Amino acid sequence: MADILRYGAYLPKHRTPLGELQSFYGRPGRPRSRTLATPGLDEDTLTMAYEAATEALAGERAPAALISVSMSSPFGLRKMSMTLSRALGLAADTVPYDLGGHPGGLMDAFALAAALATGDRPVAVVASDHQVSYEERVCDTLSAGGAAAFVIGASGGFATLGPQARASSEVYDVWRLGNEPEARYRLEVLFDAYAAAAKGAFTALEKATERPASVYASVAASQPHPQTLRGLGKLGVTAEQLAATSFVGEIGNLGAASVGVATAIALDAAEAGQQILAFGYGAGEGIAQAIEVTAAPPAIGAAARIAGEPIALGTYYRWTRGRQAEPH
Amino acid sequence: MTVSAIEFSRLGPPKLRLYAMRCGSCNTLQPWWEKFHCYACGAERLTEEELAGTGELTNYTVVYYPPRDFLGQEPYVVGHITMDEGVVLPAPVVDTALEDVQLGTRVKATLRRMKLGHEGDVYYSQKFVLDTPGAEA
Repeated sequence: MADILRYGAYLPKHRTPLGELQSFYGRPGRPRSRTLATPGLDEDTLTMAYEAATEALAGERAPAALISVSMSSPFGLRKMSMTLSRALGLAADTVPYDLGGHPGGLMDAFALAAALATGDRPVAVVASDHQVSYEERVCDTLSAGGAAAFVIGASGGFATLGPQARASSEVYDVWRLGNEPEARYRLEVLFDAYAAAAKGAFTALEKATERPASVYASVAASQPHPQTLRGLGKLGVTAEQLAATSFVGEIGNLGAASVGVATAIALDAAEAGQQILAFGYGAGEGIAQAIEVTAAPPAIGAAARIAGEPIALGTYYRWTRGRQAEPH
Repeated sequence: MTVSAIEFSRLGPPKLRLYAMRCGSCNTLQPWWEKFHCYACGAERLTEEELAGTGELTNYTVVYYPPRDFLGQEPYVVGHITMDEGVVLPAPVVDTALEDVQLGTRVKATLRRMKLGHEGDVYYSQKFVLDTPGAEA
């Protein structure tokens, strides 16, 4: 068991109207998201992680470890946690960890942080992603960016990390061929795998906690696509439980930051005594995390950040063109 | 200035933190690039000192036709920031509409990309955002 001591979230202020983007690329149909949260030309995973971590660490004790979760360039081959630790001015003995491989990795980071946060110093966990899809593919994959950070301590927080349960299957919902500039996504495989992983993880968590999904005040889930959230309804998750934490239809897919930002929104609205279910999904694996709120959280107003300022299509094009091919 | 990756490594660490140089003789705070010479007293013993990151915009201009390395970011604001510690630093002010920028505006430092080097190396540095009540971190 470990506690959440503080948290932070960052969403870039710019919003690309997806409907206009679809028209530009000649893609018919209703946009699956109203806008995309689009990082500026001078933003990336590191700068967004810095913003979220700065908010989470304000007034906190110096962490003993910093765990960063990301799948985006420019830190595919290099340690983001080390650079982030230096940017935050953390002590030289702060141990930097990096997790990648799937966008549900924040749940893995919670488990690692709970194991590491045994002494006086807490552990900082940061999930940050800046997804940039190749030209018209962005209309399907809703690629956007954001970051969320949590400070995990052994005790003394406002919420306790409860049991965690997971279900895994090997699927190919994302892969890369040869020298293609961007990975391919197969959405129908994603929808099926998300539903199967959610069912397995929710069932396992219910066994561990003896609580069905319906008792949670809210469900904060990874949301790569609006259709995945609809699949949670079959598991007993109500629209009310998802109402506050669903944003993929507004600002797109935040990748690894998705479940973190949703959890921040859920904590903002939570009251002492309530339970929150966080669900991270990626690459066929679903991880369900029970969170028990023990005191009023220090609300950060994360939900208010979903609204942003619209940018012109030309600006989006200028900021993102070639970005997916940046070196890692 | 564009440099190769090897040259970049020789230039020292990227500016991940905001700092200035304190003169060990007259105690004056100098901008970060004055590493060897105090312009107040001429002393040559200066040490790095981290800044709190907040200050006031005391002068600015809007760049509409940027140098090659900053293409795509225009129009952007570059200002003189008088830090709360007293030293004046030049830096971009971002995430704000041009009409919202005024002399005397409170600003705070944040980490942003400065430019992308021609060998793919990312240059990070300190930029400033408005530090107004209700503004996002």
